Amino acid sequence: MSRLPDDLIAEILARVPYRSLCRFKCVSRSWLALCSDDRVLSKCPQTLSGFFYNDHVFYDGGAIPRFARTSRAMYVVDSCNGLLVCDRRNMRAHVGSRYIVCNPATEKWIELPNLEPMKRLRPAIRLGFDPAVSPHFRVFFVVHAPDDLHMGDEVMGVQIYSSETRGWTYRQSEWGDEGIVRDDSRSAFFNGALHLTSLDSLFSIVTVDTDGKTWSKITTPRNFDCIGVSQGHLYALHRDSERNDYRLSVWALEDYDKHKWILKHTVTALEMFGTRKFYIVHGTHPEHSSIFLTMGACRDFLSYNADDREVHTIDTLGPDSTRTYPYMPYFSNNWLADGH
Amino acid sequence: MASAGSGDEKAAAAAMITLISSDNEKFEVTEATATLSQTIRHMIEDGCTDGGVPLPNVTSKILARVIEYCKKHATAAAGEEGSSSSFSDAAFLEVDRAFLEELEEFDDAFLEVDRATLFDLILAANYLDIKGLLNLTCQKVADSVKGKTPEQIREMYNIVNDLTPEEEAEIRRETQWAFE
Repeated sequence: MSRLPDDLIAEILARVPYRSLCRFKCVSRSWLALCSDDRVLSKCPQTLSGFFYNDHVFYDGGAIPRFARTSRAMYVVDSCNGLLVCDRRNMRAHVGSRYIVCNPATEKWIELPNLEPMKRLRPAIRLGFDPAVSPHFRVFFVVHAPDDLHMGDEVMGVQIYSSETRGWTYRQSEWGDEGIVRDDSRSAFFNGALHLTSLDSLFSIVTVDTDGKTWSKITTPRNFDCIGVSQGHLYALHRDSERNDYRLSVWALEDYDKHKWILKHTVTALEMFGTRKFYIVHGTHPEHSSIFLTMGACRDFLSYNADDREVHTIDTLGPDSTRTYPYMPYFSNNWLADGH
Repeated sequence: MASAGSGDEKAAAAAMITLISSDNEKFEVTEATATLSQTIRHMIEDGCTDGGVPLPNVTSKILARVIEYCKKHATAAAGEEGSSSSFSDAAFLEVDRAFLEELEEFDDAFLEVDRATLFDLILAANYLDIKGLLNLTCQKVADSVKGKTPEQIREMYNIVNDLTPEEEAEIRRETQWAFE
């Protein structure tokens, strides 16, 4: 390997898992420098290492879980490709900002400047970050009509925070009546745009790009319970609650421009668990055909593999748990110029 | 002498480019094959390929392998363009899948080389700016080193550990979890 210049060794190391990079730091002085180099770290393969859920965190392994346990007053609001946006809502209101964006793998974080509409008890806030495309992240803050107008959950616009400009920009919604989005709307950041499930009577997903310039909607065959990104496609999950077999269907957006969905897989609760138990869908694995579910009063967290149809128990979340946030560690700090 | 691609009937009408290795061997290839290399593509665009393209950093042995890779993948690229309009057609999808599997098998067989050749291919892929080949060869090396211990890496690549014992102990303390 001595024949290769450092930038080609860096090309190779950028394809090695983070655990191996950490081991290789004690190979030699030049390898220590290469394994700590941002060029390598920012390209380090990202894989799902666990899930965050509020007041608790569980992992398969990987980096440093202690960050999330340090503060019980901090709630995860959204996660995207290794970054989290968190709500410090128990903090004394007049001190600092309410929301932070952090990277648990490097223990770095920055505060987001406060916004007036943040007074809403549970605003819909989403993160957009794709290090393969840009080191800059966006935070989308969905602005609703003021409550006294009784317009419910219709979206007026979106405040978009850019880590590049360090400021919020307001863009008026072009979704029209179909943009019915709440804090519990499911979402995915894909193709440089935020995708949100809309709660209107028509089946659709509404999208807005990182600049708030392109607003569109994708028609869907169902009202999906959950959307996500898997194997390079937008995926969607539906649990049939009208019939009591709780049939799970897995859809993939095969042709993004033509809104062509295909049904990838379907299975009933009986086929999965051997009983007709109720369950909640949480998401898809980013690289495999696995689906994550919770079942029962204690919220047993399970994975169901659509290839071999096996169910595995991962953990028990406890009766009070609600959403989970998939976590794929990101080891570089190039998303952050001068944070804490 | 080795005139790669000259027997290809599709290529007969296409423009041919002559590549000259460091040991002065000439290889004749189609433009479609040659332009998988961004370096050569830019030379063609600048109109400086008359009389052949000298590649003083690449030996004939390695250039022959690189051309083998480019020929296969240039065919793949042409095939993709041809069938894109019928993407939704199940029959075409089957053909695509079979072709992709064949390409994967080709890549696997292509990588069955000794370590020195693999590094030569990485250097050539970098010099000629062939993204697919650089990715393929770097991934192969990455797969062979991942999970190894620092001692194994030093032994594999004859690397001298120039860290002091204190420095090494400090790094190991910080990265303890990675050794578990």
